[in-house]
Amino acid sequence: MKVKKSILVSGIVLLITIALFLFVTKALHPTQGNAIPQNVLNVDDIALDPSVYTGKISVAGAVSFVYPSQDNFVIIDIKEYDKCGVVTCAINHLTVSYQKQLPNVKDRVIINGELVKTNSGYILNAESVGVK
Amino acid sequence: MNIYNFVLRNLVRRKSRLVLTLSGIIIGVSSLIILLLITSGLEMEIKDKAGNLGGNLIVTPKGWCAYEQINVLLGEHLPEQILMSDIDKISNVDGITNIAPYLTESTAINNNPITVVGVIPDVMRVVKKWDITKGEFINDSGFSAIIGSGLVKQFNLSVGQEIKIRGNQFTITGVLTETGTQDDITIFIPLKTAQQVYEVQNKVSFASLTIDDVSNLKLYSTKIKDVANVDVISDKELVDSALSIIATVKTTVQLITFIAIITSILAIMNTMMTAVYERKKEIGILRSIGAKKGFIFKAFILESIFIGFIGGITGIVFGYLAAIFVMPYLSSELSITSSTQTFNFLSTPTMLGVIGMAIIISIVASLYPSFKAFRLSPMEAMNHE
Repeated sequence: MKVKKSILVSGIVLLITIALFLFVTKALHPTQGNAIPQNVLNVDDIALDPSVYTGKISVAGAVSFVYPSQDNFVIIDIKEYDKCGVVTCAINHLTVSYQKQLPNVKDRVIINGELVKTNSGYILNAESVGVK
Repeated sequence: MNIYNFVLRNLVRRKSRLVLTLSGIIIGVSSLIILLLITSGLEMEIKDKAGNLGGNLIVTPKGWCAYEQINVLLGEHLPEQILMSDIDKISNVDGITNIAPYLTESTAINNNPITVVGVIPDVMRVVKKWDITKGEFINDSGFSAIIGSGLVKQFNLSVGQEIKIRGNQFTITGVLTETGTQDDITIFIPLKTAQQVYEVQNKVSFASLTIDDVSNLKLYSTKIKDVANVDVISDKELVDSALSIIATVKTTVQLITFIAIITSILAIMNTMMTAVYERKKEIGILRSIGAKKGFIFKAFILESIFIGFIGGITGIVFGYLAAIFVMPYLSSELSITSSTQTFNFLSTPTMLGVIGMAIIISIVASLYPSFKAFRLSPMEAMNHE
């Protein structure tokens, strides 16, 4: 009986500790849980030298424009979006070509795809678009 | 009766209660450890980065906010807004001994973003006291690069190898001696070449400068602003600016720590009060067979010292474990430190201080219950049902 009780109490303590950890983590997390996973690139990373990014890449961004008739949308750097709060303030933009359901303006997205050079510059040919 | 046996027997008699009491103090100490690690680790890293700028004053474009100033410390890409003509004017101000303009841009190796910095090599050798472990320095122009030692390890690069930056082939001419700073993971190319490759002719991102009289920073700052359309910030102000961003985090953790400490005090007090109540008869028996009041008081205080000690040590361990998970969030989300940021271990006196604090909290919380036990008369205690 005593052993069961001790296990129960230890479980409660563990839960309290986990809750504390989650609370602290949340408190230290000013961007409302929008952390970009590692190995995911930012728009600003790519913008300065897109030619060096080859093969499949993952890019995070905030959607600034959507063009349903052209099956594409434009993303800006998430850090830029977090700083100024609007999607029209960024210096660097990346056009994403996607044949499926397009995201909405201000959505935070992670795109898997490949950068390709076109006459108007580099665009990201998306294979998948995840909305965060 | 041996006082230590008396204390230990009581502690193990109610294991669940002991665990709960300890958890209060563990949470308090863990929060404190996280707070100390955040404070010491981030402050130290920010100060190290500021020291690595190689100057007493930093020249930035007008109107930069704290986040942009912090990017100077991080070595991340910054807008190119300062004219070279302004840099020339600043270099003519009396008392300025060196001025190092930087053009911070970005490229990638194997799809990993890498910072590229355009610099004037001769100036960097003086202000940063750069040393080369392999190869040689770059010239003032040309498509050559020196790289940090971290890049050599990460991408297995070597002197003579070529890297591609914006479609141009650059030859690695040298590897910098490891500095433990952002320089270790940066590619440095001649400023003129960087301006050409990144199409930002005659502009730089920022500049650091050294002066002959560091006690007159404000005077120099005014002089520079008079001759050029720029802002000037001292390395100390830059550090303060960076630290102001983590102030919110510190306040949050301080609040958690404060609440946790108050909770643990109440938890210990509650435990000890219950212990006194439950053991009234035992106290009465002890008193009637000759145990002095002081023995009873000491036993309860000793119990609290034990709780404080064990809670303190366990709290430190939990605090470190929590910090392992929390610190990367700080790095990526607050954007104030590099992604490789790790926390520094606290000094032994600090950890002893934390354990001491846990013990003192336990003693303070136990004073009233111990005093209640101390005041019990044998008769009153024996009559307790």
